Amino acid sequence: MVEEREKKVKLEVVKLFYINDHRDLLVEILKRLDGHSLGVAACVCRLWRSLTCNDWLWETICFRHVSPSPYDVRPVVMALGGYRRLYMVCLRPLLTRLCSTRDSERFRSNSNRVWTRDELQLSLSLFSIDYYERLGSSSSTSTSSLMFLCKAVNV
Amino acid sequence: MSMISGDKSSTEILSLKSSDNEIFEVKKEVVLESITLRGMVEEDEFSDTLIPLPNVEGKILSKIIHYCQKHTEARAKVNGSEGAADSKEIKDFDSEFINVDDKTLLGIILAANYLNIKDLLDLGCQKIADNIKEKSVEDVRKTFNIKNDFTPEEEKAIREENLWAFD
Repeated sequence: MVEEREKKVKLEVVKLFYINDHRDLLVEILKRLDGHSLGVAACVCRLWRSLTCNDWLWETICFRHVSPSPYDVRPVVMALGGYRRLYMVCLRPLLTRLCSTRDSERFRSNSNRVWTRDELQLSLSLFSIDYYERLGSSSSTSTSSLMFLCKAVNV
Repeated sequence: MSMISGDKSSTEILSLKSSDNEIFEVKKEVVLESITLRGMVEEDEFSDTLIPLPNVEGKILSKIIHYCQKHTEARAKVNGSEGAADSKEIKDFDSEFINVDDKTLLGIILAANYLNIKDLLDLGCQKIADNIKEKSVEDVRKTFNIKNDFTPEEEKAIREENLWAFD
């Protein structure tokens, strides 16, 4: 009797869908997250962490709202430190600034609208500056010149 | 419901059998929403017989058939143009359809992946992603039944690395 019940439980456990057994599906889900949630996902387990380290996931996040997708900039971004760094250094601070504006309605529309080519070029320029300033200094905490554009300004 | 086309294939009925032996009679045009099944049907392997789907249970298959039926009908209304997926009616149907518990949702994306129904896979994965967006690390682990396999030192280092995500 106990044996039969154990067998039934075992069968049920086997039937349960375990997402980590389906990496292709897990990737499909992760690439639809925003940057913030990808940071949370990285802390879940080893597999999720290794997947969130994939730079192309961050490429999707950086340029999800840019149309057409700027694949021609990929070699440049990779040479300057990769998409995850681009997001952390340039995009996230800008998005955080938008979030801190009192007009949350404007923020919502801002975060979903399609980026212009100029905005894209600006973030890539800032990224280049970040790279060269890192090259030039031994400490990573030095405040940089034009990088103030990524920080909140007290007027 | 009126038939748009007089083509034989639109009235042909096929039978799908789920993993728990439930049988569903489905119009061929609806079955063709699945790229996997389209391949099987077009090769004429299953023209008169049952198509077994050992990877999909009845409860999930029933939902998927409903989805495919709705989308086939919507497409027929706009006469096969690409605009069908954008109509408000279909968008409302989709958001209602995918508003299910986590277990069913995971079942749907697994089946949509196996059956290769792109729109349904997109819909399901996006819904799961949206659910994750509001969750903490522990809640995500609970939802997906994932064990924390980090050592305490690893976990501390990774949390610090991703501190910005917990603002």
